[in-house]
Amino acid sequence: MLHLLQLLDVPEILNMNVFLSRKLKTKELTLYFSILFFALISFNASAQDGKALFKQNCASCHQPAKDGTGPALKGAKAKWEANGDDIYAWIKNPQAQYDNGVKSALAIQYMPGGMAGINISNEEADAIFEYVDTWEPPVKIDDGPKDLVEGGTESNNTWLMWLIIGGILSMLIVAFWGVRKQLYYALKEKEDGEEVEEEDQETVGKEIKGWAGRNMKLVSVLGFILTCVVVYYGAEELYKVGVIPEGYNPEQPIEFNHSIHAGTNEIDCQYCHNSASKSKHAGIPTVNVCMNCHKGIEEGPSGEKGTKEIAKIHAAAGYDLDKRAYTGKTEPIKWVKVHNMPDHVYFNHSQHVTVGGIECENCHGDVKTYGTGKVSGTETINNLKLEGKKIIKLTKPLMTMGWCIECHNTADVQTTDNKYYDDIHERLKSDKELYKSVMEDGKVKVKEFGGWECSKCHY
Amino acid sequence: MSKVKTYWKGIEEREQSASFIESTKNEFPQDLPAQEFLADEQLAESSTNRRDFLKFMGFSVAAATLAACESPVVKAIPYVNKPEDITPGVANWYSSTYWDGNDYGSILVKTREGRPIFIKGNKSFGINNGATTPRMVGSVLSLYNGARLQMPMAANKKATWSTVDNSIKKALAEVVAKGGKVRVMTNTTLSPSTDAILNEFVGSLAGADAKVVTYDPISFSGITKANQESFGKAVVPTYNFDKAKVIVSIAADFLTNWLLSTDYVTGYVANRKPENAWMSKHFQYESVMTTTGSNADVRVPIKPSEEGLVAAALYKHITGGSVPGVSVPQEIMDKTKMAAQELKANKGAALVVGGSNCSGTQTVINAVNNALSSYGSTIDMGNPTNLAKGNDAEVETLVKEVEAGQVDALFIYGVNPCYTLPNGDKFAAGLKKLPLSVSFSQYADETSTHCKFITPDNHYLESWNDFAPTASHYAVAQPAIRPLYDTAQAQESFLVWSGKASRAGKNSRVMYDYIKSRFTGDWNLVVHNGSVTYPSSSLGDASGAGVSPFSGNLGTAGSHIAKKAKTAGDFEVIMYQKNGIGDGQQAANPWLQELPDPITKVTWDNYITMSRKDCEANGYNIKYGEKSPATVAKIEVNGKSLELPVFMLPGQKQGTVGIALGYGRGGNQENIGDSAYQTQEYGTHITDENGNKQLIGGNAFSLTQFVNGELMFSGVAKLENLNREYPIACTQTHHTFMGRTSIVRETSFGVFKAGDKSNFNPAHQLSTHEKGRTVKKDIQEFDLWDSHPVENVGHRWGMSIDLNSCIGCGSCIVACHTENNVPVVGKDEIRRGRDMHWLRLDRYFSSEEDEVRAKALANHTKEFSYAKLEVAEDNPSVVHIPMMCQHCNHAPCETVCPVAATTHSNEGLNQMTYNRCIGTRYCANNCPYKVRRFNWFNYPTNSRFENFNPSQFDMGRMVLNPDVTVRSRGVMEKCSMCVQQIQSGKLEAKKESRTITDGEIQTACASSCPTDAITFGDLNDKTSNENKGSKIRQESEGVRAYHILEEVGTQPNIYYQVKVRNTNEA
Repeated sequence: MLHLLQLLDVPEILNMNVFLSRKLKTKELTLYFSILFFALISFNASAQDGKALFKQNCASCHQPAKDGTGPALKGAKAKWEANGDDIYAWIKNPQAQYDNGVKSALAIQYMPGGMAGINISNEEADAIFEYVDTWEPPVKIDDGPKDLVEGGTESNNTWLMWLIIGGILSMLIVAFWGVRKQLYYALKEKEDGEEVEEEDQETVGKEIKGWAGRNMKLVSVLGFILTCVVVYYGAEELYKVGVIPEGYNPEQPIEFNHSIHAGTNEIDCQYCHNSASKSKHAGIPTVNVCMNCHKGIEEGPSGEKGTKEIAKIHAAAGYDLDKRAYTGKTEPIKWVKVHNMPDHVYFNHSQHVTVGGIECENCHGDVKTYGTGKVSGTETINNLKLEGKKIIKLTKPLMTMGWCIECHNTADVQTTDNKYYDDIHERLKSDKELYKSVMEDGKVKVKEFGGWECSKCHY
Repeated sequence: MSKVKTYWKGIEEREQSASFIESTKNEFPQDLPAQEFLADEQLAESSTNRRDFLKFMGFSVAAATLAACESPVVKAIPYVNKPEDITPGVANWYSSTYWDGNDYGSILVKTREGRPIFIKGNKSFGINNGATTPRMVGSVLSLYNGARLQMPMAANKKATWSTVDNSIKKALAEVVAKGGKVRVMTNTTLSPSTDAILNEFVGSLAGADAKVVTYDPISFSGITKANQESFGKAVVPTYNFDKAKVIVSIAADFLTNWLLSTDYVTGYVANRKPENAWMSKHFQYESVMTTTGSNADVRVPIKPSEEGLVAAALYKHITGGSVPGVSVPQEIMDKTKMAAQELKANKGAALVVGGSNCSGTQTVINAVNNALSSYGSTIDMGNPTNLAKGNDAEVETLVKEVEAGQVDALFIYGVNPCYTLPNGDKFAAGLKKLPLSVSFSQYADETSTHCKFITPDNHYLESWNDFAPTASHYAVAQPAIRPLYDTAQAQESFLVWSGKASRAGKNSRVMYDYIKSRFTGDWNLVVHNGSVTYPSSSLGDASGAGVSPFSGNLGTAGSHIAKKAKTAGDFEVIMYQKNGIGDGQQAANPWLQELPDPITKVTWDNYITMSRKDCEANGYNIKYGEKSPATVAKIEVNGKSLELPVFMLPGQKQGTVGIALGYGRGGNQENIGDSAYQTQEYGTHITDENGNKQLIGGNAFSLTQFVNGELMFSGVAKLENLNREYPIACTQTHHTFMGRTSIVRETSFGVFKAGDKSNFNPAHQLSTHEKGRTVKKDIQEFDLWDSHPVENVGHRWGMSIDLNSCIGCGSCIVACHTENNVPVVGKDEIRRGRDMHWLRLDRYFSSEEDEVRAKALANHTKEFSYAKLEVAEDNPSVVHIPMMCQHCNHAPCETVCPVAATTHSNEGLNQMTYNRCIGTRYCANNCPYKVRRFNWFNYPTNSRFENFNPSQFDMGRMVLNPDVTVRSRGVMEKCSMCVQQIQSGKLEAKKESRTITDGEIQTACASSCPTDAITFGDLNDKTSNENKGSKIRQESEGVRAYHILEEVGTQPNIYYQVKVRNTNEA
């Protein structure tokens, strides 16, 4: 990213210089330009850039100070130079150097000949070496995702809590009120010396009844409104029973961070969830997929926490970091599901991802900002602004049937370039009336294709 | 029309017995037990009053609501190392081969996340052309039988492989040192590698008297012996049913249970299509009505002792000469006359087969076939099968040796002699005393519990194996799952004890390497395809016939037959195999136990089949229902007796009774699976005073006997009526059609070939009055509702069932069970009429009522009398009709559902939505086809099903199809036309951007049908098959296509094809 931006910046600087140069003589101009050019190049390929180049070209196998898939790079250049060998030639074509019997090449006991040639300039190589030679382990700061909630409980049950507190308070008020009344009559009895008949005693209930009787209209209107509100919200809440609420983010065995993987490192969703395009399940990444990268990457970007979590992957995979070998003792990772589909619903990821072309974000939200997997909400998704991605805006709560069929009534079937739909289209043409009604807008909604039929999802 | 046919499922229906009429009035025969509950005296005394009740209820509702508010924590556990070829949620298919000593076939195994969940025939490769039997389809459940042994056993105690191996090797060394007797008792392995391994094992015991003895519990050694005598080759030849224009079967159930039935059935059905120029004619002579007999054009009931006489009669008719020593009664000569004429007329395209294990009868059959020039045409001796290697005489010797304790080491592989031998108890007593006895059984069963060691074999779905069913065919069985338990393949054990291999646990490649090293050719291809067929030129005898001239000794044969024919007694008994249970290896498989027998429609039981006249003469109940039980009889054969209920079977030869083999497993309470024992009301096992569980039926193998070194499956029986009632779960009176007659349509080949559709498949018309005149209109023109727009739009899924091809075997029912998670409900629930089969096979008997009646009906005269008629039950003809949801375009069920839980899709499917159903059952009441099923219980959890419902077993749950909902209590269910397959088929096409190819999507029933009687496809597909339209579209437009109950106007998407019999009637 950084590297790209700088490249973009270059012409601007040049332009400015051109503007300045109009006042200068050609000779001076040439000199100025050449200095500027070299300065720019050296500036470009200096330490700042070394990091990016390292990440881009080397980091999948090498680490600055630790052996990974390949050996640590710190001090490598010095070692080669001490032997009088050409490290640049090695980078560009390791096998040749190895075959030629170059001393430093032979000295590498680490997967001899395992590295493929990397096409970078000597300057870029220098920048990388400068970066790794000056690299120091980062200061450890513990800054893992903080919005974690204890495993498997609901996080937004506050309304229920307030309801209970309110209930208790109103009960207390009524109770105190009653006690006050009792005391009042007890006092009155003592003062007046005559007993007040129980029937004559004003109780709380009687008082409220009396008040209600006097304000019949108000009470009936209020009662009606209250009933409506209770029924409406009650029904609304009941509809969501069994639907996991927005923000549900249980504690997971590994504090996986989506924002680092999908966000910072821009790993495609389907690299890890690779069955989403092929199967009904998107698939939780299997440990061997994690190990594709984490064989080499064993430290978090900023702190001990990440390193600790990555160690859990190594433990699950049975990977011995010291020996850089698999022990064969594996331990599956037991993730907590955040989305749960009832048994009587059939949902197929590949239908939506591959055939329908629905963006992952349309159901899962902006995963690039997440820590561990969590549930997004309809509103949150509607407010997402994603470049070049079309989000279908919906209103019903996420993962309810209403939400499913709302989308089936909104989304268009992606019929272009699909011979299956071409065939169906040909058949539809024979029924002119139906053809007209369906194809009026030139588009076919999922519903028009039977997307609201029970047996499309329930069998 | 000179003859009127009546169709009936059972005599309960034919004679309209009182209980039958009552039961037909109720779609759901059981009332709710409200009366019982209210009549409970304690109820009146209980202190709960109405107010309390309301309080409890209010609290429960509140508590339930609150409890439901919490989201459950569900764990998801991905693979650590995902196998490369597995994608969670996507099925993998593996080709393999099934062989259990009885059934053979190339199969395809469907696995999900590594679990085998479905088996179907391999329609592309293999000699069975995709044909299966119910046992093959159901065998996937046997993999998950919780009673399987999980480790080797020594003296019935858990042991480890190393100790067992060491002990066996040591004991073997001792036997070798003293030159003792070692015997390996196996079934016919069919496997060249296994045979080689056994030979290596025997060879490694130099010094000892070691030998392999092949024992086939269902013996065919009569055939091999006869062929040895007749042609010098002790083999079972290849029978080419596809070349036979006339087939005469003398008690051979060759469509489902006889030798390579999966091979024969496809050849047979190929010539039963009336659209062909000719249609084969099939005569069947038998005692008990079998599946094959029910499909015959002419079926003649005979006694078992007459089998030889029928063969001799045929010989006499055809050659003119008689079999020496046999005098054929005139009655039999008459009965065989027509068959003989047909055979003679089709010389060279005729085939006579016999089910008898008597070598004499088989020799005469050989002589008949020889006279008909069948060898080289319908019978191929040049390409013999490797079946039936068993030699009864050798087995009898071995049994005697074991009983006398003369064997030092006995290895028992693939057979269960203590159960299947005539004198299993005596054998068991001898077996116990042997110094070394090893069983490879997967269970601690009747035999293995008496062995010193059990070294459990892998299940066949966990094993590598190879097979050579015929000389020109080679097949490979590959595992579809890693061994579930610490078991080892028997072949590996033999190699280990021969010192030629070492144990490698679950990752063992011993058998794989062995087979691969012996195979020459493209190994990957043969594993992928499952089999390879070599050209006939590769056979040693390229002449094709490969037969030395017939040299059978008819004299000896005649004396055999004459001896057998002399049998005298009240009854003759024949032991036969049923399609579900077969020889009893899968007796603990609840799917197969619950499969109604194709003919009797009885589930979960073994019984004595008897003719109506015999039943009535001896006072046995002949009408069965929920409240009308069967009567128990005691049958005595060869001094051994069984107590079994008597079942009146139409078509049974008078004076004979039949008993199915394979029942009465677990005689000494062995743990072979809970489903193998009898359950009662509320699902508990029936136990005696000692706590012993009651068996299902009795072991009919104990009634067999060795006669002259031949295992006989028939004999003379004495019956005694015990006058004891016994509840019987028979589905023949369930789901009747209320006397409607437009169900079966059948005709004769002659009428069909004449081509006038109105004679055999007339359109149903209704009379209307228009402008003062009566006008007849086709039923399609009457609509109560608006039509669903299904024509031309998108897909319209439909099915066509050819009644000519359907043999009624029942594979489809088991396949449907497997694919759709249909619950097993057990005997008691079935007895109450609550079977859950989405697909059932209606078996209609039909009897011709003579011209007298036809005339009487036409003239309304009274000269007609029932008394003058033949007894309909003597020999009725049979029609098998697979019946499932008809997916009506005008579905009566859809209009009555109050909650719209059953609706119509624009693809023509009648959809059932479980989550919307509230269980009013209106739909089932309104369904004219009676195909809707109600979940009376939560079958996967209710304790009354814990002894047999596979979903209640930890391992049994593994077989559930993850794409289909497991239904809960209180909802309706019915055939969905495997909508999960339709949906996934469409999705595959969409993903690959292509149209759906015809035949690509298959329902479970269609894919398992051995005869391709069921065609499934898209009725709207006009472009497939070079613009001729999909196969289903062509069939739906054919002259034979009709709808069942067409007059109701339901307009189903399921078509039936008129049955055409090759009878002489014009």
